[in-house]
Amino acid sequence: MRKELKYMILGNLAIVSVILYVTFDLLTLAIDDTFQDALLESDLNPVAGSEKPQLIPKIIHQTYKTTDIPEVWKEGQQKCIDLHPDYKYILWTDEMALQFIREEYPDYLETFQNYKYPIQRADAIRYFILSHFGGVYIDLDDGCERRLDPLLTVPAFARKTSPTGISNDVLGSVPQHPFFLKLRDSLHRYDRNWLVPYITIMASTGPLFVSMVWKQYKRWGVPENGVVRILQPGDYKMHTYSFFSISRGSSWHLDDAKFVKSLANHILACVVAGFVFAFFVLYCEYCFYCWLCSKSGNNKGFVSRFYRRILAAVGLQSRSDNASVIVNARSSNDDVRLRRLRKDSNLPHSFVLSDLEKNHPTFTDMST
Amino acid sequence: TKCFSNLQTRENYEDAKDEKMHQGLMVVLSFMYFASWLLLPVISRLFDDREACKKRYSPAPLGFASSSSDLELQTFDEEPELVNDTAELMRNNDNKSEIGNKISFKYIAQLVTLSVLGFIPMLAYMMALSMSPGFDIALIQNTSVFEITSLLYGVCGLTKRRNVVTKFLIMMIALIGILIVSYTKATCDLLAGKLSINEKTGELNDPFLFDRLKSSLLCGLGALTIGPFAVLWHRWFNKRSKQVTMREQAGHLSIMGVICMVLLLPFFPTLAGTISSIYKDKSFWLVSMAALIFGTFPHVVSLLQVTRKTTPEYSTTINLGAIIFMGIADWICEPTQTTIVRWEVIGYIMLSVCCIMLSIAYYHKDKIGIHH
Repeated sequence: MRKELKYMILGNLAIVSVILYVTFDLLTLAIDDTFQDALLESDLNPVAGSEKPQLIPKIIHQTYKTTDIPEVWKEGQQKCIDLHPDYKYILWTDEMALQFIREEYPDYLETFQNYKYPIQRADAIRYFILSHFGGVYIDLDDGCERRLDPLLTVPAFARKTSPTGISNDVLGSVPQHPFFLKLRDSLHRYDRNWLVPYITIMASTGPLFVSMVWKQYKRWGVPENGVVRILQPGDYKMHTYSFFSISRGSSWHLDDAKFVKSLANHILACVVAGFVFAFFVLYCEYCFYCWLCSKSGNNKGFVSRFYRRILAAVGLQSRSDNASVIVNARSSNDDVRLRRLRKDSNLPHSFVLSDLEKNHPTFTDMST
Repeated sequence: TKCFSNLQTRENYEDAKDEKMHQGLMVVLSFMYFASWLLLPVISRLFDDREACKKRYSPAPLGFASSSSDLELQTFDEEPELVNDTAELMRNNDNKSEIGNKISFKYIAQLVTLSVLGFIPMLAYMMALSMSPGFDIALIQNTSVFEITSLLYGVCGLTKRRNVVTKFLIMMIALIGILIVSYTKATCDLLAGKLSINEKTGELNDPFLFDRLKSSLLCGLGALTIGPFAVLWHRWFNKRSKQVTMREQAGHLSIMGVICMVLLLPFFPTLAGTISSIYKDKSFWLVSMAALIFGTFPHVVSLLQVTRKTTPEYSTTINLGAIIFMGIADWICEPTQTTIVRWEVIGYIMLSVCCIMLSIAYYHKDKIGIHH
């Protein structure tokens, strides 16, 4: 195998390894195992007398910028309050959230304040308050349709989202639940800018972040009483037995979010585009390789010599090889002869050199 | 593809929605596909007899077929073409002695390797067909096979390194044509009423969205093993294409078919329900036999012939042709549910023109041996 090809293959393998390492959690989401931990009918609608004890504290948390909630969400909010008069209700404003982080988690204050988009702070605060106080967090665009008591019988729950993973719009947990502690602790590590705002938000604090951390959390076994039960789509909304109803939400969605979501309409084209892009990159490399091969017969080219010098500098090619190549280039008078050498490159190296030695005094001069 | 897709998605059976039923159908259809390879040695006799007759009466002189000016970067070595009766006789004698030597550990290892490499894409293809429309699967599978074979043939030195960039540009235009077709397919499906958009969210009302994504990825990635399969096939069994008869190659393929069927056997104990459901279903056997006899079987035979008669890279254009013909098949089979938009036509035109250009660029009737 030619040296150039070997290095290109190694380079590609290295790039693929890095990409796999970075996106491994994302790739694991392709295996949808949300059914394994699903909240069952017997959990959500227990027969009289078989009710389990409630573990999650009776607290409902919601968040908004201020206390001035938009009209469209007021009805849902009021429904939650009315259905749960025995629950403590807390509406976390931006000011309250900042104050809470400053007092309780000063180590996270910098990360929290440095988030570029306000929705990232709204996402992050829910993991802090649930791991600290416990209770149920509900997005303002989710109105309550029935009492949440059956959901309080498990140590933690989240809802399944489409097409895979879990969402962060409805969450519940006991205080200091290991999953929510992991979410809280992972915030700093996942605080990256992915250039597209929608992807940045989703992957740094949003549902994608929660899903990836959830996959990690389950990978090496869940601690005792640390299971996170999953509310299935039918139990979440749109059915008579569902716990929640949805009003117009996603207030933070901009054009990029709409574009990313519209890609789902063209899922086949997205996969094909991925394949075409990969082919484009790899075939470009192949063309480059062909060009290198064709140039290796004609070492007069600046780029070719530069390439060989780089190889020599990093120790991938010996300097004597490099020198002999330069001698070849200097001593030869026509391209035809060099091409001929290339064709006979399967001849032993020494044989080629001895031939040069006989015919070119320059070579002999240099060796003295 | 259309027939296989129809068999996997129809709801004639009581347990049609059962996951096990789908898996069972997938295994049975794969088994039937590989079983069809057993017929190849019979068919290959027809081709070999014809070729033998042609050669016997050909007045070709003894000598070299082409000049050395075609040589390029030590990739190819055009062999002297000895086309006379003596050579024919010697070749036949060689073949007979080869048969005795063939049953060796190396030969079996080669066949098993190729069988596994051929088995993976077939299973992925059948699995994907149970989750997605046939057109989607045909498109992604052929795209994937086209890309990987084009690339590996080049990297492994099975193609001429002449006009690489020009060919690359044509290939990219063809792939952009495929991309346009795949993008407009969703629009066409929406217009035809096969899909609908949720007006409130603007998202697609498709409960099988994730399945479609999964099947596309599965089929596309699974088909990548066809690349090493094709390269190894050429290296091991198509090395000196002039001297290899179709009967020999069909023999290799039929053994590989048996190995693949053996690989499928572990699935059979769980297939009692599926087999009992399809046993009495005449339409199943009719459609599946039609798919095998008029679809996959001619495809394999033509691929064999093309790889023997021309350069390896020429066979990659078959995948582009398959996408075009799948579009036509879709249009014929679903005349009332097919909507065509302008950009889809443009995509098909780009694809067709590039397919023809690549065919002309790749076509090289002289047999080419590979350097070792």
